[in-house]
Amino acid sequence: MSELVTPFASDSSGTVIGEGGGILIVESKSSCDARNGMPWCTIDGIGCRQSFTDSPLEADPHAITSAVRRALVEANCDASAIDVIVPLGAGIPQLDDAEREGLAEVFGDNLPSIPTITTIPYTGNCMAGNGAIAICVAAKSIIEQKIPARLGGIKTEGIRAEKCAATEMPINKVLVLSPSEGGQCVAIILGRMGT
Amino acid sequence: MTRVVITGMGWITPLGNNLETVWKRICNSESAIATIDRFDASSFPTKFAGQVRDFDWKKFVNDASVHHEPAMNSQFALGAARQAWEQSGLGGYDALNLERAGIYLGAGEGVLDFSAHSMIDTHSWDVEDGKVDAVAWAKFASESLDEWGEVEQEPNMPLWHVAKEYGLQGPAFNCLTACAASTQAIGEAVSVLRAGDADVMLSGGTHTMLHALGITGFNRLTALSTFDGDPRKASKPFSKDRGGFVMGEGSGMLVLETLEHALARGATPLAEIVGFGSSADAYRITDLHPEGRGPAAAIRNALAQANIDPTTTIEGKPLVQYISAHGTSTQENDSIETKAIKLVFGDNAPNVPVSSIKSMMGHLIAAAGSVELITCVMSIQTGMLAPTINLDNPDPELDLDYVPNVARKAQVDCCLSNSFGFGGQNNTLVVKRYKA
Repeated sequence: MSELVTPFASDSSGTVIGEGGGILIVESKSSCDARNGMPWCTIDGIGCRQSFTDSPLEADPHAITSAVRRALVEANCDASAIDVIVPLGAGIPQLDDAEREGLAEVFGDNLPSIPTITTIPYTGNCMAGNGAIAICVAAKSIIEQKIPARLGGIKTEGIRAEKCAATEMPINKVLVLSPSEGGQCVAIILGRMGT
Repeated sequence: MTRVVITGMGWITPLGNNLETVWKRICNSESAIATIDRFDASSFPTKFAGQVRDFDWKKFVNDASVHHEPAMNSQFALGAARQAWEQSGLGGYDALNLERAGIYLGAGEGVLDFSAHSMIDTHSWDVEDGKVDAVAWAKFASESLDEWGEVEQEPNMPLWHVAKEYGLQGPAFNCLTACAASTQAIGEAVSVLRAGDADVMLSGGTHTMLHALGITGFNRLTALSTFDGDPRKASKPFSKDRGGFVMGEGSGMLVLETLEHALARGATPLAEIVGFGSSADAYRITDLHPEGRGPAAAIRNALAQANIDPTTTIEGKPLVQYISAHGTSTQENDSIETKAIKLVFGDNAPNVPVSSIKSMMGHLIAAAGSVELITCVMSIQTGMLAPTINLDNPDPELDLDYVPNVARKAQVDCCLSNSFGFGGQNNTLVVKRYKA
């Protein structure tokens, strides 16, 4: 059952419904400092765009590209600063293709070298709760300087999302992407504290 | 701070389907509350509502075929958005950068596909076992459920329909904070514009809960009026004998843009949004805090953002000249909203007219806030205050000026619009006459 969802694999057969969500406390740095809080990471940039497709069920690579570019502008960094990407990775071929195409437009030939974290093979697709779960995982990865093991397919074309073990690595910036049914697409960049 | 103006507005409401008609009927103190005829409610405790009538969404879109079969909430949104878009002049403005034109709705869920689910349950019922046969249910459901019906249940679908109609590709959001949703949407759309993330935001709300389960649910919560008499008299905010709210439905949409963008393209600002405040009651799910702390905080926060002191006057006149109340006609809301207004405005409170158009069109739930904000703009533009009708038996405990029964001429330059939702969300907007 752990191989049911294989994001970005050529033989991916669809997603699995999950349920759940994540809650984060988002706080100004000054408030956190004043109470001696322990920040996990910074939110450096947010981009949000609407798809313009013939159906609400279609994903639009252009909207994904545009949302990511806007987040990069707000984060005041370029694509080369992104160490890890957390795509939706639903396992639905059409959505996966749109994400891959939209990301490739931003990251170019570097995309296959940037590790991804995919949560849906673990939890199923938690729909509205999915984005918050992805951000929690991304924040934890920054704290631990380690990406979790990936479930999924053996081979993924054009994006580094194949099955692998957990990997320690320097992580300063993570891009989290949430495209949705209905065409809304949000990109958020998290940063390591002090970088 | 970046100034944000309103350049277009649209109304699909139980009182009519365009600004002119609805405003005229409001100023004539007309009620749209009537017997429900969308389904057979004759045996329900509540048999009346504010129902949108004589509305054909296809008249408000360029090509109906691209929208498949929109749910009623999306139909209302398309109707109101068309009016706002045309009034703003963006319809003929080819230079609009669509990636800097966004959308933020406070849209409710689409109508759930009750008929299909009931039919599948009935067909798969195992009489001998006295329960649903899961195998038969799955087979029949996969053969008969309509995929578009399922998609249209999602509350973000009105957003897709409206974005598709106008090609809006900028920031796109939907919130569903119950009766406070569209006020929140507009407040946050203003923040998106101020942050520089867009030049134009189409914002507002749309909702219908006018179906058998919606009416029954609110009946079970004892929130709906069960008035036994002329339905037009059922919604009576601030009356001593108020007995709950009356369900309405519809949509209010506004085109918001930065003043710089509006002036650059030669648009006419209708009004300026100068403040937004939000708070949570952190109290009970369906009750406001008895001291009105949540609504008072939202009003205070909105006025603070607008840099308006509610306790001062200029030439004896309060700086806010009208409040569009949440005014649901429930005992609790109207009492606590009055208390909150008094807390914030102090000695000025009796001199600020407060009214509720829910007395005429019912409660449009997620769409209520945007529809009521438009009322404020219409007051500024026409110099008329909407009345609270059916206020023949005033509650002696509620002693503000509720503009009873008859619309009133007034010089209005600054208004508040309140929206409070089940779950404790409180949102307030401040809108002013535009001055260069």
